[in-house]
Amino acid sequence: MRTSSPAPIRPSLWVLLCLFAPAGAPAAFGEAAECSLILACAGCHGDDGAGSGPFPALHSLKPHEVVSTMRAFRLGERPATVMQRIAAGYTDPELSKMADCLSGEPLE
Amino acid sequence: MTLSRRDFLGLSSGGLFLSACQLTPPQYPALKRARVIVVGGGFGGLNVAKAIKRLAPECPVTLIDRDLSYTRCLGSNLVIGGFASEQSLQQDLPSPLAAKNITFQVGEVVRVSHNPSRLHLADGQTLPFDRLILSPGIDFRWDQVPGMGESLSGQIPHAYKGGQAGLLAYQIKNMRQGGTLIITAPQNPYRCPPGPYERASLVAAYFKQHNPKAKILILDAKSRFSKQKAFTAAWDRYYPGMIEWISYETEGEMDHVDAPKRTVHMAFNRFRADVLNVIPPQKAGRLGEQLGLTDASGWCDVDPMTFESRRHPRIHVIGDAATIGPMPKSAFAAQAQARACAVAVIQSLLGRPPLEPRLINHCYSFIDQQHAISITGVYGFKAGSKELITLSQGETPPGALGETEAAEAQGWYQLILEQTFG
Repeated sequence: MRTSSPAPIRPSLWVLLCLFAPAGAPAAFGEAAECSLILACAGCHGDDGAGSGPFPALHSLKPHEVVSTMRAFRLGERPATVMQRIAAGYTDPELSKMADCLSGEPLE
Repeated sequence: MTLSRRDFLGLSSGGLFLSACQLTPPQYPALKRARVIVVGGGFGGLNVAKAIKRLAPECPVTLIDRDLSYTRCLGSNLVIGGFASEQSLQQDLPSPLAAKNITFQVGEVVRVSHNPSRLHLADGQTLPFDRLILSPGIDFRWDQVPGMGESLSGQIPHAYKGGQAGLLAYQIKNMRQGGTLIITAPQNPYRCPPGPYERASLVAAYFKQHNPKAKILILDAKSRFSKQKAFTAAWDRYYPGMIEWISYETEGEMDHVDAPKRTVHMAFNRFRADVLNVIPPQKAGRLGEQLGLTDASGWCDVDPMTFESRRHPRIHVIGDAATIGPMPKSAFAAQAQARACAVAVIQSLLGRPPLEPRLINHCYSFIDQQHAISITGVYGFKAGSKELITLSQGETPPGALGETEAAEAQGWYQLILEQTFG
């Protein structure tokens, strides 16, 4: 995916989000659950989302970049070998959650 | 990982999270005293053990395999086509696991007992567990290939698990000029659906250089196959007249194999090979059946959200051995399942409900060293359902013959080897 970008994962962040949310904080837990959306992205983009070889880093992307790039892939507006197939598997609200998890910042 | 995000989630409050600046995660007693055992040192087993350790370093994890090393199937077609050495498929197990603080043990699993949960090894050891994760790979249904059997595979290799890639490569290299390689491709489901066709492609690349009048015949138990359009277009372009695919619709089922004559008898005709590669129909690795985890299909029946067996609680099965909704059986899929299974196991140890995983399979096939094609699927759950479905899928179009994808395929191959065995 030389021509491409996003899809996700940042396990250190992810650890915090998914596993160490306090039991007494259901809202946080709900948020954390959404981060399991980005788990499989590590298969190409690396366990820390730092990218690898032809696969770009994800952890430096801003949330709005994640969403706009993935939408462009899905709509065929951005050329790609593979990412258009993957982007088609996520809805817009899911992309927002993924961007949020990935960047470590809530999407404005 | 930023402070703002943690504050946003409230993780730094309540004492559970020590400090935003402290990189050591909190220690959960339930994880610290958990007994997690992984059986199988392949892509599923190694990745789930590593993922648990990465997410919960305090959780003790033991990995058991029959051997000190693992011979991978991923990349074996490169060996068969003469692009890589047989030795390169051998992966050492103890040292990478030790580096991750995972206990490695050589052992042969005999059975499991319940209440309390115990794993019994052939040497008499009994290991208590809270969660057992199996990734036993595949086994062959030799009973469905009359005339063939495990003992004959020393002459007629399957080269679809274990260490037979070198043998098949040797036979191909020594085949007479103008001879015929026959590959028999099995019925679905089986490990690496595009595998037989990638194998034909890479052997054709070898023949083009060294045995230009040779032929490759694929006798298929199916009437269509993975990445068919792209493979067919690539064969027409790079290996015209060399590879012939014979569909189930043309020749029907295999009747039997005459091993001494290297001849395959199909329903209508027989085909004599100079080199014969019988890839048998498949089922879950022996351990699945032995522990009572398989259903009538021969594969392990699991809940695709947690990978927990529907037959035995606290036992999870991932990788090729399990039926995970519509996901194909591949190293990529096994790795994705391994990460999601690690989360499911940790959630259960903490007494928390499962998180819905979103799974991806992405699989490359080489046409030659410069060209590769791929197929991709994203899998998730219908709202309110426990059924895993395909959310999107796609493959390399036949017009794009994959120069860019070859570089990506190489990059991915290096990455998964590093993530799994590094």
